[in-house]
Amino acid sequence: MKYYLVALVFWIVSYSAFSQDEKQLEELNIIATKLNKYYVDSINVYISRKDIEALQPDDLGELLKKLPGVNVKSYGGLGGLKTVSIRGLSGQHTSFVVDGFSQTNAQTGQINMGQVQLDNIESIVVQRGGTSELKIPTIAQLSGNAIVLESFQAKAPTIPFQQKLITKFGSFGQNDYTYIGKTGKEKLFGGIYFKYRSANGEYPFKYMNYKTQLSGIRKNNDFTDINSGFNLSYQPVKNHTINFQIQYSETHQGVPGAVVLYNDLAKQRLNTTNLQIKADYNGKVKAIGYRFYYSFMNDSLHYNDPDYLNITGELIASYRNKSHDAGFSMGIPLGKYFQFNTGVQEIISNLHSVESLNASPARFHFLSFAKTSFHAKKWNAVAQIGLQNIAEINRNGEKAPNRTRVNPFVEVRYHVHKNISLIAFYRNSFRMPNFSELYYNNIGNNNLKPEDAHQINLTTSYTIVDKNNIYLGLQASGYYQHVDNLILAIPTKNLFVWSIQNIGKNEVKGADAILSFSWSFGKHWSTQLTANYTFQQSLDLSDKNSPSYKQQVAYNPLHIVNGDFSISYRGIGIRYSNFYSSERYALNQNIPANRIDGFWISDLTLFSKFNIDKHNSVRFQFTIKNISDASYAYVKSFIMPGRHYLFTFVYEFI
Amino acid sequence: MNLYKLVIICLLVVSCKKDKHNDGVNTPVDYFKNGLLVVNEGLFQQNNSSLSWIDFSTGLINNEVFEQKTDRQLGDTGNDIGRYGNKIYVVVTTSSTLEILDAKNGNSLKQINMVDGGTPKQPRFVAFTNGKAFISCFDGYVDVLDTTSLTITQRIKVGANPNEIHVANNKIYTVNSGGLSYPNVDSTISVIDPISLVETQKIVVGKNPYRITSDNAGNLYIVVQTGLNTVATQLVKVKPTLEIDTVFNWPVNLMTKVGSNIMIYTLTESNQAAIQLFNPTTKSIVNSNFIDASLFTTFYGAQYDAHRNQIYCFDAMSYVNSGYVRVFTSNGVPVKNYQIRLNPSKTLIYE
Repeated sequence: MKYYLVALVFWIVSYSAFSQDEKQLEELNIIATKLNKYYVDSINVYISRKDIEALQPDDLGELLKKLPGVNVKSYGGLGGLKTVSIRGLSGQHTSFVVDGFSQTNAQTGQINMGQVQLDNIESIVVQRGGTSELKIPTIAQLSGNAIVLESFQAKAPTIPFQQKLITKFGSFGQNDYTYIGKTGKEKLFGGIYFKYRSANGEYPFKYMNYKTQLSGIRKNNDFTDINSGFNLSYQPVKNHTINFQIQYSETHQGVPGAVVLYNDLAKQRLNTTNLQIKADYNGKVKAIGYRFYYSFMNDSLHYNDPDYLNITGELIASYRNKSHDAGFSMGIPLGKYFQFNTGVQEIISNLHSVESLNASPARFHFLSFAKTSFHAKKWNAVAQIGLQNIAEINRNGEKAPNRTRVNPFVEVRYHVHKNISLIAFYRNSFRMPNFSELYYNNIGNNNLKPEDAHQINLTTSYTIVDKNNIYLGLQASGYYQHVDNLILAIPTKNLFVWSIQNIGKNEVKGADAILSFSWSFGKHWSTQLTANYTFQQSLDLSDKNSPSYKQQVAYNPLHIVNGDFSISYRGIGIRYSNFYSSERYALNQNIPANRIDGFWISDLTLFSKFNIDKHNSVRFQFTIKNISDASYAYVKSFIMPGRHYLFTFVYEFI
Repeated sequence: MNLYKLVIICLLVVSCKKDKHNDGVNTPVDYFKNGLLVVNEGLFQQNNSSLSWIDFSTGLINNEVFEQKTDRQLGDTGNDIGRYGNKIYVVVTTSSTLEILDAKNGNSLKQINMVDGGTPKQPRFVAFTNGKAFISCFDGYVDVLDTTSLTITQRIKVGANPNEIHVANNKIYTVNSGGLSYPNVDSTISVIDPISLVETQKIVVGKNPYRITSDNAGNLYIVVQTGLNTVATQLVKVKPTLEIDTVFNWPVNLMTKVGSNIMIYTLTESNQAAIQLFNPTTKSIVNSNFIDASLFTTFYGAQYDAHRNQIYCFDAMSYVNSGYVRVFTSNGVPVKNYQIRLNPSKTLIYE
């Protein structure tokens, strides 16, 4: 019943910690030009602005599906709900960080990736291993994994005034207008961001109703949303910075639900607003870096079903979710080879609903960690211990018991050769049951325990060729995950009476591989080929007597393949992007009746960029998505759009 | 290795994989004879409701009867199936349709979209008398269908979210659950006259009534909740004169008439399940362990076959695994199991 959830992660070489020019980027760029010599050390995955522009994803969910080990569940196209699971861990094990601030939603435990827009995002990192970056709040150090975003406006302008204007027009009535501007210098700068997006969402779809081809138009799939933000950064003295951000977003959308045979009369509506106010102070005294941060979030959700067959003739559910999030982190070099990092964070969340929730819960989540890193020429090692305490109150009913957890993380990397490295880690983490699971009327269970996860990973990276404008790099990982106390919603007395219980166990054995090739030839030609493959066996170990015991968990394909090829001449080029997912099952019992067919989706993009002068440029892009007009679904009965088009115009003064 | 080789290798790996399970060869059925036609509810928003044919002569199971007969799927949440004359009526709740089939061979005669003013009626159960089918709809009405013209001729206003519908004493009774207004649920049953086609009476029987049956003397038995903020249930006996006779404080969940007795499935708050035999005449449990409840993962209803003198019980297998029809003798002795599709809940018995 519940469900879903990012910046730049830096791995800072231990003793050269906190200054920008000393950072080494160690994420693996899986899409862009090449894996450079730093990237081969990493198990974190990095996506640049260039990649985002090339792919033109509708939202973060659509982009993340291009990454190895990421499994996206999409409940429709534009504007629809999208959740991700990374290496078989559900979305609630993933922390979401933007510009150094974590975003939490205690009601659902995760962020809807379908609502995260990327026009102002400069980079995305999927953090699978550890990081020492001070900008990463404690919660993202301790969670199963993290998605970390950095925005354009949060970085100091490189010239006194920079701006971008982006407009998009596409199928299904899509209109999209974005303006981002920032001005000032490193000492003092500020920025604004505004985006308006709307679409009627009425896409045609095809559905094989046994032997009868069913064609229809998706109805009640419209949306209108705005996203806006303002930020200010001030550096009173060198190495000391104060940042302030305020963001507001609002969404109005239809909720089409599944394609139900013979019934396309859904009229449900969903309106959400989100206000965030954030501030941090970053300082450095000698070699010791530190950061104080605080954020406030006010999230509201209003759901309406005008056809609900109760005595009032409609269903209204509204929720208000507030959180205060404050923390401190610090890094201290200890001699030549060691570094010590520590951090604390307190997140206070509460949930209130007039119509839909008898309970009035509040959560006090305290997090802390201590980490020691060792860095030598060939060896790096990290040992981290996390301590968390969760206390809850419920002003109207029974509260969940307080929980305390100690979670270790260890990572070792060995540079076999300058082009070959081995990285291994073990992480123990957990996710708390969300407020819906604990307190939802009638089905919530306030005795739920946290869901515990154990991850073991082994990664090797190899730069095969890196000369004469040719690059070829390869990375491969194997991993094992085990989840205990898996939280599942199950019907009990009948299909109308559900309960949430810690009755699940899940074991994941996976492997992924990434290949990156780039070649610049002639005077103005360049070509790229990137591919990744994920194998993931995720088995249900919940009940030995169940027919689904040791069968592949629902909605986890065994194989996912991504392959992108591009070629360009003087900024004019073409990109061919492919995504393949093998079959999956709608339920844990892997029988033909539950099978959802695998699919292969290809997108084709034509792009051209013209530099008017040193700072002014315009870019045109035309994308055909789902070229073959394939009928496919990630989730049973949630049919995705067939072939559709997107035209993008970008003016940049940067 | 380039992308395309990698992709091709992956596809080969995928295409070589065989299904480990086979849920039936689904040999086409020409005529229904000597077997069961079971409706499997499926799961909400999965469009996987189905009809299974269990052939007692051959032991074969066909889980795609409806699809093979119509070239299309049944839809979402098939909730009830009934036979009247030479026609079968399948009530599909979430798709909001009534499927009418030829009772001999299952061929489709008509599909009726149960929609009123753009709002799905969400039909739940069907009962028959006087040449008419009475279909309880969650929007607060009982629809009257002429079984000759196959058209809805009238809507009869009843209580909130009427659920099971039952014919006895030359009357039609429907339980008004009001479940969608929880906790402000309904607590009545409606009585409909099959001639005048009006609701003649509505009586209070207890919170959230959702199941109804009757004994040979015309007494009604209704499963209700014990009170607010609880899912605990009890059984209410109502005389044909509509006076409440007895309230049995047994946590009855489902019930089925077996001969002159009523088989009841009880489930306590601590999930202690029992399948017992209740004698309506003596108002007593005559066998507290009539059928061994531990043989079921999720008991989901039963029907008695007077012709073969055996009982067909449905096991929903936690609602997410392929269900079973488990066959018992009239003494509660297990005979055979048939694995079919998701959430079997009702069957038509063919001699």
